[in-house]
Amino acid sequence: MTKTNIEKPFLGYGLGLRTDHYEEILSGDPEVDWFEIISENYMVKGGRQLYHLDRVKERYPLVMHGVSMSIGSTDPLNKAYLQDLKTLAERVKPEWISDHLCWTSHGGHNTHDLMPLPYNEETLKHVISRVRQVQDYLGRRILLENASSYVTYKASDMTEWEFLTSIAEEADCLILLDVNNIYVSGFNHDFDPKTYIDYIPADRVFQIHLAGHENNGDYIIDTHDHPVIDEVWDLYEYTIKKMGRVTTMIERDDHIPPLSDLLAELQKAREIGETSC
Amino acid sequence: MHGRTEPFLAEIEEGGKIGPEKRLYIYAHAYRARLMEILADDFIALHSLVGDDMFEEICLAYIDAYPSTHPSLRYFGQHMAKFLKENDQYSSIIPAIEMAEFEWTFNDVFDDPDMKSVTVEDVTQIPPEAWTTLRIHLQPSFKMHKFKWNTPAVWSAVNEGDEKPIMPEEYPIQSHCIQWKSDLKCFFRTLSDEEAEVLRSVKAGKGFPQICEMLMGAHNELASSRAAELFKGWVMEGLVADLEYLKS
Repeated sequence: MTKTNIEKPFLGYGLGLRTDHYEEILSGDPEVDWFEIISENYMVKGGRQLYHLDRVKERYPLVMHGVSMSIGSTDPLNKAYLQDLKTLAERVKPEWISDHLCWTSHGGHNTHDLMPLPYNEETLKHVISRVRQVQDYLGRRILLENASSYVTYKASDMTEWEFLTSIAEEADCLILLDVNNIYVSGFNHDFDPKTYIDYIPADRVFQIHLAGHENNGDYIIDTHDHPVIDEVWDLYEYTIKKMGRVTTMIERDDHIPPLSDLLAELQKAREIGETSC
Repeated sequence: MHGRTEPFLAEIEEGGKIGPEKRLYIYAHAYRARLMEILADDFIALHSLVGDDMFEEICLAYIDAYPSTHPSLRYFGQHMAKFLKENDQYSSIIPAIEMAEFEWTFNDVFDDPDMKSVTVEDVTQIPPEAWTTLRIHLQPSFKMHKFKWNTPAVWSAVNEGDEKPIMPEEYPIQSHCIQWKSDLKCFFRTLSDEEAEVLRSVKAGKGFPQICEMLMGAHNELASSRAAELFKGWVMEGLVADLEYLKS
């Protein structure tokens, strides 16, 4: 593994910016160090989303997190999408831009889901080339996030952590490590999440996601609609002990609770993050 | 893709706590559930109009007919009215088609560019001699549709949660409705044929004198007053985004 020569910024402890919380954030200045926006929600010409985004931007650092770059797809890169992403980045001036290591489109159709890739040399070359193209176009490194998965392809001949690490090092991109997703995939594919974390190059991990999920007994669905469970908190502590302090956020995508609930979870992340390194 | 798992089954590794079929089903189920959810959010009144069973049937058929081609889920329902029109099973349900069109237009209006609305004070700044050069620019979100049914009224009743819903009713003649956004809020209202024609002309770039001319037939020497009355109404409603006139 190679070391990066880039300085890793630390933004502190953040939350995903959700419409339910706009008013409370703008009227109360809650104790959140930064917010993450879902890029696609703001790729519009006008309306309340952009109005509130501009106001939150005045008060907090922002990062952009996308779900539709489809970096692993065999479709050509969607130039219109990348153009919209770049335009939004010019408006938001985010600390960084992230998306997922997955494919979300095929044949011009979108799944709106984070579909896993076959982990092999052929896919590796393909994704590395596309990450480089995206980074050249955006004029900056991007962060790629590990998605939860439910299937393993017969065509895979390496682990996800080997694949992600190779992508990051060879394409010179950064990593958004979703600790919950590692836990979910570990459960679904019978691997030890710590093996995953141990392998990942810490110097490339610029951000951590923490979230909840739905445990159905013999499999786990990554719903991001529950509080973080104890096992994932433990895994977060393990990650921080291994990697040092990393910019961290609570990611809730559905069943959005009152902001105070998320702030309480964020405080827990803060305590673990500040005392474990 | 599109919720079908069979083509992928041979590619999936076996073993573990659940089989390949179930693993693929998780994706297939999530795909349909996610698209059904966004359609339910975007077409609340259409859902209410056709009932649960038909709405589910429509959504499932729509998902197959119009797979998502936009990276943002927000645009998935954009072809719903077209789908209903071109599908024999639904093409005769005119209120449903109109409702789909009306509801989708709100989505577009909502995300259209925002411009400050012209105020009454702005209008008072127009010098008397400049009125002959005046052009009115409507909000970029301005949209106008024709309706055969009382679609806007039914939509209102559903969205305001009226306990006694308004039943769909066919108008004796087609009616017009406009939708627009002002100060981040979406609005709509029905309007007369006359006002609809005038607004179409305004949108096409006709100036204030030409509007007065259009109204001459029906209003004779009161045409200018009628034009001014309509203009004032649009300003009060936040429908006007800009005024263009020759400044001396």
